[in-house]
Amino acid sequence: MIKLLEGIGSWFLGFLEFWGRWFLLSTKALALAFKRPLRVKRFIYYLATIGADSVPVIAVTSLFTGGVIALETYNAFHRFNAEFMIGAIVAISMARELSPVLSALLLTARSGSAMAAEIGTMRVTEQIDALEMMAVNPIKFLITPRIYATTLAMVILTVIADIVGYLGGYLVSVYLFGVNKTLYIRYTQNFAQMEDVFHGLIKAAVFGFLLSTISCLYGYYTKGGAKGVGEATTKAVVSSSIAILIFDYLITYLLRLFNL
Amino acid sequence: MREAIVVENLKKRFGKKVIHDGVSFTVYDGEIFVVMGPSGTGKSVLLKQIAKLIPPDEGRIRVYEFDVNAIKDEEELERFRETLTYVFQSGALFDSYPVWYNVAFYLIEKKGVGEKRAREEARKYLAMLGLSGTEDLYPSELSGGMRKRVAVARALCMNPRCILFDEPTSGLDPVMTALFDQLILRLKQEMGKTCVVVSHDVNSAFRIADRIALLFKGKIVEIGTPEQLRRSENPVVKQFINGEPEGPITETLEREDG
Repeated sequence: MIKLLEGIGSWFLGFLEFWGRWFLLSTKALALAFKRPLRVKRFIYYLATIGADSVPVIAVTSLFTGGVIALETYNAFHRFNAEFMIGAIVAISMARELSPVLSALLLTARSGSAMAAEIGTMRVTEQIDALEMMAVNPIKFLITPRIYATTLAMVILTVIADIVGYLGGYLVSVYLFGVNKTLYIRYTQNFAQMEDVFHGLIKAAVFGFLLSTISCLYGYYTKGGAKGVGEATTKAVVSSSIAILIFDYLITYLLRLFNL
Repeated sequence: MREAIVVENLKKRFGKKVIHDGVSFTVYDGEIFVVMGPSGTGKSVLLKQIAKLIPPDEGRIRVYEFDVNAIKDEEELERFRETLTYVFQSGALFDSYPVWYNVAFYLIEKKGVGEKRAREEARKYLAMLGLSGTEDLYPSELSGGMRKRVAVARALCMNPRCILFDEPTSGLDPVMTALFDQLILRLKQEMGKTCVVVSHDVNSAFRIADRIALLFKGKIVEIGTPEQLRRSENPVVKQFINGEPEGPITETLEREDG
């Protein structure tokens, strides 16, 4: 019994320690962006490697996701002769839920892991100490541009995912099931609203912030050699993914209070 | 002689393990001071505390006019970094940048020097260390000895008065070791740099050192010129210098293991 309580206690302490560190590191990283030198070049570099390079992966995934929604919902709507409603379903579910969540999970796997591994390797090979020896703040140099770039990239990638996902649904409905084109688009216009898109974009920004800060945090506090880097990378991906799914619920709940 | 580094009663522990238990010594301006000791006695930790990378638990460290642990604002820290720099054991080069950018990193990122001029400056230091032609290579393409020399070039590019070397000759062949010793001597003789070298290579230490300190069990066991150390009657010093398998060092190790 005591062992169990001890276990719960130490887990809880670890949990608090993690979020404490997370809070300190992310506020520091955010604030340091406004200190000179601004290093806009590094921000643009990460925007390209984290954002632009992820476009193909995100596009393929959302094309098929949009397609599969149409595929799954067709039978149900066909019973009521309401196939043209598929457009609205695809648009709303992509915009509010699937685009931000899927993009965030893909970006975690693709860039979050890379951030943790790269910063972790720099930690264990003393490169972060070397930065400090040259009076360069490692948080500002390594973490700040990544957080801002990932947050912005997530928003843009989600917009792309929305569009491509809708296109996937359209292709399946119109060309596979022969749904009427005009009705398909008209019903999308009637039911889907810009609020749905904004709802998803707010989520996307939060997810981007979460996944980059958590991944950088694990990388920054890496201990030990190659094994430590491996552990940091695994933990970064797992924790970011769980955090994204939990925060997805929390944000939706919050935004519903504001009717968004 | 002017004091360059003064360490007073330094104490440091990690968890329950005591690393330093009251370490005190003085390094004078323009000398080569070698810290020796068996593996795991916290030689690197000592350097990192002097370099303000790890805070000590107790004690005071002064480096020229700086009270290391009282440095607060960024401007003072930057001046401290320009006074004293660190050459890491494995070089710690930034592997995503080419060699020349590694060397010129401080000038470009911190001093705002243009890339062209910074590259010229880096070329000068690289040539001085016999590394001409490596400017555009990446650190992963260099041998261990070359990487260490690039790290020295990077340190020199900051034009510090004092350089800390963490095991500069570990993992190098005897010829490379001799060359590296010569390099450290040149830094002292031609440029007047103060060098603190952590090493467990006795031969190399005796070649370069003005004074040697032996660190053992969290304390300095003996400080003196190479001659004085060679004549020392202290059993720890004797065992370490002569590289004997039996003596007080092994006994401590066995006690810790058992």
